[in-house]
Amino acid sequence: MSESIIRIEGLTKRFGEVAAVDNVDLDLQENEFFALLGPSGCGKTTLLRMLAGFETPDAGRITLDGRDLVGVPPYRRPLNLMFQTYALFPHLRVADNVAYGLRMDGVGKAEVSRRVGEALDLVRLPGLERRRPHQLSGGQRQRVALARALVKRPRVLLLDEPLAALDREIRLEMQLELKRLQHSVGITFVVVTHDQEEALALADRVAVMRTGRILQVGPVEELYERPRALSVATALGEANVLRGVVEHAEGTDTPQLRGTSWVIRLDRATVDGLALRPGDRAAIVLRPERTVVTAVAGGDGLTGMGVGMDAAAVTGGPEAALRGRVSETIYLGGSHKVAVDVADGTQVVARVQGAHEANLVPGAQVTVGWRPDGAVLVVDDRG
Amino acid sequence: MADRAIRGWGRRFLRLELGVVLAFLYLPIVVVAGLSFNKSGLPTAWTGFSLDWYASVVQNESLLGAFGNTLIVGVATTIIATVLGTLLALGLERTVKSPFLYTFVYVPMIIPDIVFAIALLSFYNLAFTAMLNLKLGLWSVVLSHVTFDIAFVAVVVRTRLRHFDRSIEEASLDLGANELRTFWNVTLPAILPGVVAGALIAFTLSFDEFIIAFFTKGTSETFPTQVYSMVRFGVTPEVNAIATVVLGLSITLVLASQRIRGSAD
Amino acid sequence: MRRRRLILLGPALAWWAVFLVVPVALILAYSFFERGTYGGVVPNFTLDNFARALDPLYLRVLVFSVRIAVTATVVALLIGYPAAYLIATLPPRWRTPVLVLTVLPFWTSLLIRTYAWIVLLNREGLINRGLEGAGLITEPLQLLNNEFAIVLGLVYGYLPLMILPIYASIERLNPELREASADLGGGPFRTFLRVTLPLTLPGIAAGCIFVFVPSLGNFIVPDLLGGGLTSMVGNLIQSQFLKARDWPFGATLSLVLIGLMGALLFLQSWLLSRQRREQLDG
Repeated sequence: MSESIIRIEGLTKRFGEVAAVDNVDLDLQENEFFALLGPSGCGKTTLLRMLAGFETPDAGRITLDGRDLVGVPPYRRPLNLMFQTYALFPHLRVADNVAYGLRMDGVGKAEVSRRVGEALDLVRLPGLERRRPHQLSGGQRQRVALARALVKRPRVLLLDEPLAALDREIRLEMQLELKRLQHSVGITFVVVTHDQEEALALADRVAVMRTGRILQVGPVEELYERPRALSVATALGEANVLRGVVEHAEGTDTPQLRGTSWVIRLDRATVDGLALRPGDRAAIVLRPERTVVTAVAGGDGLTGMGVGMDAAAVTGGPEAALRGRVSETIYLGGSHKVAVDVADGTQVVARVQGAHEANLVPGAQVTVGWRPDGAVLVVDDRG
Repeated sequence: MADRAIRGWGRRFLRLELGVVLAFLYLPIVVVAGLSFNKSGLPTAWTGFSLDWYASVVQNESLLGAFGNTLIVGVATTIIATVLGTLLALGLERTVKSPFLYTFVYVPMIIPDIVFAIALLSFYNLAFTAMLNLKLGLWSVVLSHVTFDIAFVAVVVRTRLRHFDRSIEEASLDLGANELRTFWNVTLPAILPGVVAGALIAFTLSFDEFIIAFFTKGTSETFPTQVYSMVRFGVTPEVNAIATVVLGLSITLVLASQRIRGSAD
Repeated sequence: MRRRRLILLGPALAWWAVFLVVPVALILAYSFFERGTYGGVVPNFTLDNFARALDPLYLRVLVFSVRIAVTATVVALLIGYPAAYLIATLPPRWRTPVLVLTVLPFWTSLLIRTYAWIVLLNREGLINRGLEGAGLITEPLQLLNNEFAIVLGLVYGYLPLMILPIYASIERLNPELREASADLGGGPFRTFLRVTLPLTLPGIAAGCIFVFVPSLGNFIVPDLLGGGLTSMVGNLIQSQFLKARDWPFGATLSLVLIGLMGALLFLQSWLLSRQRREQLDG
């Protein structure tokens, strides 16, 4: 179990009437790759800037190794920030850019030279010392910015939307690079991003943020497989969503979820675990790769139960199964995305191999179900 | 916006017009420069290429003295005005949001120079001559020139500041430099082209300035005031040579300033 | 933060307080004072100076100045607008160099450039000789020391200042607006009249101000090209101050000048804000 090196408690920042960061608690651990994921305007960048020291919180604390950081100016914090626009000094060569922080600390010439060389090797840019920023490509500039921040051996490296400005190919390459760097340097990386693919690819742990609050924090697999709220489920990865209201089956204590034209029975333990009561809005989240689409003529190929769901609920009578019609199929190279319009206007998307063999073509009548553990019950927190 | 709405002889007319305008703008300059090399010095006849008039100018002591004075005034003015103007631009762009101040900066540029001249003379007369018993001279010209030059420098530097990416200042802070070191190591080098451009303009304006200098110079002479006296007496070929030198200098300075502003991006 | 503001704004503003605000306030005060017997100022309150300014003798000068300044502005506009239009429609590569070329003369000494016109305009000057040589005239024309010369000198001096803002406003125009006009049936002339011209009005207004203001208060041009008489307000102020040593009256005339210009600037900004309200987009 890793140690937590940064503790954020009750952190709040207001701009006028609006709270950009609203009473946030968060722990960041040693040697982890952490992602703050959320749409633009959710407060993640403000949170990052408070960590770096460019904004002062209105309330709350930030402690690093037990030391309170609030009030400490950015140049005295052992954290470094890689800016979204890289912010390389245009009038300095690459070597001088990287050496800047070391010189500010009064490090001796020989050592500066050595460490700059190391840093450039680390980011795989040897030999570019004498170039100027405007002579570099986007990917190269980013590596220089990384080298400049890492050369100071900060406790934590903060990265503001690091891959947003890059072309697709370079982005994929840099994703691997960042992972590699974090492992080899062994310090905590905190990435702020709106791109869920980035968060999934890079992070060990993720916090999903929305309107200034943290919705859920945890290892990335946990957030993907077991989100607790609908916003979290849709923030990370694709999701098919079946929204409805929690109620008790007639005359019994058994909970079920009623949608516009379907009913799905739920497992009591799961419902209680989410503190859901009759009348609450909830949703079932189905990942496309877990969704099973079967052509009707071929019989009832539905299998398995979802988490918290009753198998009987999805087999048998017409009011329980999801029936629909395939609206289109998109070829992804090796598999298909099959989009199915189910009864109440919702569309469900499944990732299927061999779609054509199974007769899943536009217009086909199908039923939709899911693999074991393929569906998750979540609180519906979307307005 | 290459305009395709205007074709044919509409466009030809415009081109001709621009040509005429440019000819109009440069005709006097070219003529004076040409005459300065004319042996006879008169527009009546071209008697041969000669540098005599330039030689005559260089030997004219009062002219040289005035030229030196103007250089002194120019350099002193430029230094003071550039420092104050740059600080002002930074202050306006970074610390305040007062529309009043933003417009006030343009006042020294708009005031008619004759009014400015008599206002300053009145003030100097009262403050320095009457109260402190000081005679006006080059120093009072410097004080006057700085006053309007600050505005020009501030405007030029401010334009540069607007296109400034502040994240490099934050990067500097993040890497361990405090505000003062950040200003010195990052901000100043980044705005330097604007500052230099402003300085060149300040120098040029001071160098060519006549009316305010005329009123506030006391008994000394600046180059423009000296030339003015010469011209009042009529056209002399020496003035042609002087004119050519001054024009050449100004044009070079302005082009240099333009170069610096352009190449900085 | 407060200290930073002080360091940055303080020096320049303090300088201006002493060397700009105080002197202008001083002559404002002087305009209400009397002239001393040997020159200088006697602080007795009087409105005589303002009464004198309305004397037909001086009023004539004022009117003349305004007339000249207006003429120069109009001429500069007629010459400058087409030039600005062409520069704005040149291929981008040519635009900046040509613009710099056009504005360059402005940055050189007005005194020298005005002097250059003496060379060209006087009776033995180049223009007369050229016209005589071409057989177009038999007697040299009186081109100097008259109204024509003054207007010419003023236009010459400030034409670049007319061209620059007009160029800027033309360049900023959305070309689709003109295309829309053409699409709806407007020929080039009508499009210009109804679309381009109104939309470039701010640039025109700025250019006119930039020419009118320095022309009105000008000293050098009427002095060198106008025959050295006290033809315009600028010359009048100078002569009152230095020759007649009547500082209060000189101050009064300056105030009248500033007042005129202030009224004009106000008018211009009012017109502009009205136009901005009426416009939907640029």
